[in-house]
Amino acid sequence: MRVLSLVGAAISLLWAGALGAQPLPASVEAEAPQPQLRPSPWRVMGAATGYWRLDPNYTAFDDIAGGPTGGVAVQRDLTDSFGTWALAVEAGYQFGRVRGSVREVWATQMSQHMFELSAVLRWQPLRWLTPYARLGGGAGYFSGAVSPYDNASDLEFGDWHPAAQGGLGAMLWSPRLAGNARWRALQLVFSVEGGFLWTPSWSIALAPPAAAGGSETRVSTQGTAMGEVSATAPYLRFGFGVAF
Amino acid sequence: MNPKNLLSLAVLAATGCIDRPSEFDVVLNASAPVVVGTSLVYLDAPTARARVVTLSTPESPGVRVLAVGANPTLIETRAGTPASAPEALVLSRGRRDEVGVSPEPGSLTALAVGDAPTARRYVFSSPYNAMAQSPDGRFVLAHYRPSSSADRLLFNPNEISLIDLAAAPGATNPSTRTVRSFGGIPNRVVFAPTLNIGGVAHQLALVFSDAYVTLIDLNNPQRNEITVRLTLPEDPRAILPQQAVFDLEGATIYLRAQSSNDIYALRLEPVTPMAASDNDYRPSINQLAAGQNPSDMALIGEPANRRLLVVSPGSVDARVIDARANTTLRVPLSAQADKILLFEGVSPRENAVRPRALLYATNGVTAVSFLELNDLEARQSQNVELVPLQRSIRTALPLLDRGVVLFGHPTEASAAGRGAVSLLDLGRRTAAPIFSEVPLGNARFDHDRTMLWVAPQSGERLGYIDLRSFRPGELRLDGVVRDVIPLGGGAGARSRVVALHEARDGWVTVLDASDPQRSTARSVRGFLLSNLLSIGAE
Repeated sequence: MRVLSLVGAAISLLWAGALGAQPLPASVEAEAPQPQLRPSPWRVMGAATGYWRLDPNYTAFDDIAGGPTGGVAVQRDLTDSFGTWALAVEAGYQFGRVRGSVREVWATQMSQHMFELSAVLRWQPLRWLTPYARLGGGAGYFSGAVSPYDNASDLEFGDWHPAAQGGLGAMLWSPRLAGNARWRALQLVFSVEGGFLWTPSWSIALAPPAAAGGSETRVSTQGTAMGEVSATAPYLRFGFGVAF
Repeated sequence: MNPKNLLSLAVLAATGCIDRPSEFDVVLNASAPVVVGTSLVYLDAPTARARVVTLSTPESPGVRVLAVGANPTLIETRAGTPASAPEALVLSRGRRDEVGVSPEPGSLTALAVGDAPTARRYVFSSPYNAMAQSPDGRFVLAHYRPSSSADRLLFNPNEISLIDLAAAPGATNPSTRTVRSFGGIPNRVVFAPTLNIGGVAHQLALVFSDAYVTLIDLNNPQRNEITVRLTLPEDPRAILPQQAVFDLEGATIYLRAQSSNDIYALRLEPVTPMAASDNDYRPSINQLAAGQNPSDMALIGEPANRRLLVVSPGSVDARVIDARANTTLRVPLSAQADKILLFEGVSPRENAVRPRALLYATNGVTAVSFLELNDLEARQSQNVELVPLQRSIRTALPLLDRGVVLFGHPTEASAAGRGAVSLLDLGRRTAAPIFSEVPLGNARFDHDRTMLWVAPQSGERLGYIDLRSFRPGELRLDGVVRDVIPLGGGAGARSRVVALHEARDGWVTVLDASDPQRSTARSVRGFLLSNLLSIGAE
C-alpha cells in the first residue's frame, strides 16, 4: 500500500503541475522570441509492477500469487515526438522475487529476471496526456529453490522461458523543466499501464545445487520434476522517469 | 472515487481469481518405503497418495503418484506376486463426513506398480487398522488392532473382512463377518499354509484372541468359523497365543501362548458337514507340558515321525514333544535358550550333513548350544554342545546357505574390545569377532545374500561385509544414511541396494550390491516433491 500511496502523491503533483502550466501569452512571445525547443525522444523510467498470477500452482512459490516486481526501461521515439501519433521502442528489465511454502515442511522462493523489447504507440491529443498501447516480447529467467525446514540442503531450479505482453496505458507529462537550443527539453513522465503477461507453462526441474568441489566430489544425482507452472498474469504497472 | 480506491478494488478483484490448492498446505507425512519389485513405494497419508519410485534403471528413475483410499494407514508388499507384476497393498480407514467433506468408506487398494500402473480398490464399511496376508498373497484379512482408536463413535472390534485378491471387487468380495467372541478381540491373524485334511486341501486363517483361537476357512467363507478355547470357561487367565507351527502332513497346528507353560496341539479331523454353513473338519485339542515359559518351537523329524522341539528358558531345557504318541523328552541345557535355529550341516566330529539345531538366547546369556537331532532320545544331554561367546546376543542374522550366523551384540561389547558383531561358523562351531561401530539393527542381506549391509543412521558411511570373504568395507555417500534396503534386480539384472538418506523431499542412493563404488552409485533426490504441483489439478 505504501507504493500506491506514493503513486497517488506523484499523480497529484503531476496533475497540479500540468494544470498550472499555462500557455505563454502571445504578446510575450512576440516581445521576446524563445529558441524553438527540440523534442524529447528519450525516456528513462523506473517501474513497479504488480502481477496477479492466474496459475494456482504459482502459489507454491508465492503465498499471495501477486508479488510485485521492480524494473527499469529505456524508450526511444522512432517517429516525430510532437506528432499526433508517435511510435517508440522500449527495452526493459524487471526483477522480482517471491516467497512461499508448501506442505509445511518446505520454504520456497522464485526469482524472475525479465528482459523485454516492446513497441509503444502513443496518441498525443494533449501535451500532458498521451494514451498508449504496448506490444512486446522477451525472455525471463525464472529460478528458485525449495528449502526443507529441517536444514537439509536445498533443491534448486532455473531456466529461460519466453514471454509476451501487451497493455494499454497513459503517460502524464510535466511541463518542461529545462531546455534550450543546445539542450533537449527535460520533462518528468508518469505512466500507468494495465496489461497482460503471457508465459508458457514450464516444468520445474528440481536438482541439488552444484557441488562446491566439482561434480566428481558428489555421487551423480538425478533430480525430479515438481510439476508445471506458468507466470501468466494480468498486471498493473506504474512508471516514473524523465524524458529528454 | 479516487484513484487509490480504484486500485484497491482492482487488487481485490484480481487476487480473488485463483485459489491456492489445499494440498499445498497439507503437512507432509510420508511413511517409510516398502520395496515392491524394483520400486520403492512411499505412502503420503495426508494426501491419500502413494508415490512409486521405480529404480530398475537408476540413471533414469521414474516417479509416479497413485491415488489410494482416504486416510491410508498401512502399506505392505503383496506376498507371492511375481517379480514381473509386483503389487503393494494399502489399507485405508476411510473418512468421516465433515462440513464440506464427503464421507468415504474404508478400503484396501492393490497397486500394481509395473510398467502400466493400475489400482483395484476393495471397499468395506469398517475403518480397520490392521491386515494380514496369506503366504501366497491371495487373501487379505482386515481387522482391528486393539491398541489403536477406531476414530468412530461406535465400532465392532470383532468384525473382520476377508478379501480375495484373485477376484475382482464385488458384492461378496470382501466378505465381512463378526467372529465369535468370549470377551476378547483379535490380537493377530496368522495364515496357515495349505493343510491336507482328509484328502482335501484347506487354506485356514487363525485369528488369535485372548485365550481362544478362531479358525476361518478361506476357501469357503460362507462356512461358520470354528473357535477353540485355550482355557476352561472359569479360568480367568489371559492366555495370549503367540506362535503357530503347522504340521502339514499331520494336519496339526501347534500353538504357543504367553502366560502358559503348555503347547496346544490342534489336530484337524475330517467330518461330514450336515449343512452348507458347516465345516468339513473339526479340531481336537491336546494340551502338552513344555517346561517353564516356552519361548520358541520348531518341527523336527521326518513327516512320519514329526515331533516338536521347544525351548523353555524358565526351566533351562529343550523338549521334544511327540503329539501322536503323547510323549515328551526333556533335554537339560547348560545355558538358557529362547530361540531355535534349525539347520543342516556338519559338526566338528562328524562330516555327515544332518539336521541340527542351534539354541541361543537374547536375554543376556553369553553362550549358545548346539543340539544334535539324531538319536536324541537315547543320548539326550550328550547331544548338547555348549559354545561360549563371551558376549550376550541382541540380534541374529542366519546365513544358512553359507553355514554361518551373524550375531549382533550390545555396543558395550565393542567398547570392551570384543567386537559388536560375531560370525558363528555352524560347522566348526567357532565365533569370530568383527568390530562394528554401529548396531546391527538395520543390517540387511542383499538379494544374492553375498553382502550384508549396515546403515549407521547417524553418519554418511554405509558399512558392508562381503560374505564370500567376510571382509568388511564401507562407502562414503553424500548424506546421512538412515536405512539400507536390498532391491530385487529382476531376471538377469544386477542386484542393487538402496541407501535411504535423511531428507524430507526424498533422497536415495542406488548402489551395485556386488561392487559398491561411488563412481557407479546414482542418487535420486526430491521424489516426494515429484508432481506436487499436479496434485491439485487431479
